[in-house]
Amino acid sequence: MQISSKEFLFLFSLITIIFLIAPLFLIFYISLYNKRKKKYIEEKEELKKAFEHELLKSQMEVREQTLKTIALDLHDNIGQLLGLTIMTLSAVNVEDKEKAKEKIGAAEEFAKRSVKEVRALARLLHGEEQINRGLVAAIALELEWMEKARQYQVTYDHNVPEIPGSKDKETMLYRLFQESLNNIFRHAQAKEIHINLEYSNQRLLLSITDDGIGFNVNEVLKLQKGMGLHNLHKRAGMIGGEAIIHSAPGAGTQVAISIPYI
Amino acid sequence: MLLTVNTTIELICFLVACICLHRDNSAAWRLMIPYLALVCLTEMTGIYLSKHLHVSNTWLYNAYQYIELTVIWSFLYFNLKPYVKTNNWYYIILAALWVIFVTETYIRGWFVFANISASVMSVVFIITSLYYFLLVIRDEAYLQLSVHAPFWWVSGTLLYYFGSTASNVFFDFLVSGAIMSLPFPVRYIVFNILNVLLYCCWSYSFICRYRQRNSFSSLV
Repeated sequence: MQISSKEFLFLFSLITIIFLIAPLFLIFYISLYNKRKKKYIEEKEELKKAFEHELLKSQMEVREQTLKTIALDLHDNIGQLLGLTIMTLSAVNVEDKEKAKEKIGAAEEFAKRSVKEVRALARLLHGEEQINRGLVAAIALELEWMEKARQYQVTYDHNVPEIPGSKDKETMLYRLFQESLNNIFRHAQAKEIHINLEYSNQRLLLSITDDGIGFNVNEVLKLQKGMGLHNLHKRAGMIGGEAIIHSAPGAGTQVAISIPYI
Repeated sequence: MLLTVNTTIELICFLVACICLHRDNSAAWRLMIPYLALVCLTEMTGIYLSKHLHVSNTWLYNAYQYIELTVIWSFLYFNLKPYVKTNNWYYIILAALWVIFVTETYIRGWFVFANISASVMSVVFIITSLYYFLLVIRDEAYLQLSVHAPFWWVSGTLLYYFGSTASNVFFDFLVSGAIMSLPFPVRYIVFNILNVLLYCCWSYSFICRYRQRNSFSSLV
């Protein structure tokens, strides 16, 4: 079959136009893709900044919490002990040697207890540094302090192998743990608290369970009352994890936080 | 008349290259100035031979193609260098293209246009340009493409060689009597359009390069 020169010309022009338009489309597509890449990089940068901001906030809150505990302990415990020491010593009558000996002995006992309390406070101050030594130890220290108050029966189980994890994630998780404990102190009216920390399938799972009065999770979240609960979700999400809260009125509460941890 | 659409746009591009690249730090970019001078010289000599002396200029374009393949391939590879580690492919493909050109010129002679080699060369340039785009897309770093000189240089090259594919494939038909007798030279018009696109993109890339160099030196 032969084609006329006009038909050939038409065919040739058509092919040439297609071959010209194709790279133009390609260049346009690459420019478009590149713009999306820019947007993605900007979003990534924003997320990184938000994470750094939240991490800094968490570190500040951990410090604030420690200072609050110290202030409370200085006022309620050490202050009282030292006050008693002063009162006991001022009541000493040197002429009545028998009673004086007894009172000095009691004052000595109060002073010893004060020293013990100060040492415990110093250890708590080092609690922030404990996070650097490991999450397991930091949680144990916090619980040890809490048990001193003898208000709660606390059990702590952990099964975390020695793996090099992210300190930033540990700080965030530690803060989430503190927030959950605060919620128990303020609202739960609990008697028993159980903490479980375990490592499984490259994830770190922390669960905090209490036998308190419980609450309706959906209702609290809807009413925007539970800023602490929102924070739990937000911060767990920021480190790539999730926080699940199980609770019902009269049935206690369980906060389960799971984060990727390699 | 030596000034045609082709020679005019080539001269403009050469002037832009002279202004923008003569102080460029990169020898590869500065190479564009003598290359474009050679392009203008070849084009004008070709017109002079054909229109004034009425002799064939095919041997001239055949000779020019050796320089074209070397310079364009080298510069394309130079643009790929930030993304590739080895230089082996550069030498292998350059040698292969030279072997194809030498073989065709040897078999068909200097007075027959080496269109098979030109087609192979176009395919190599198209694939390399597309590979460059793929690497740009894959690159995690963001490039502001609207002012990225290598991107516009490669875009111009891709437009020219991709657009000329049909002309290369149908070369024998286009130079045959039936088509040549048409009231307008279709192949010549296509190449005019392609040349305008190529040299506009290249001129813009030289301007981008100039602005990039100036903004960088003002920061130092």
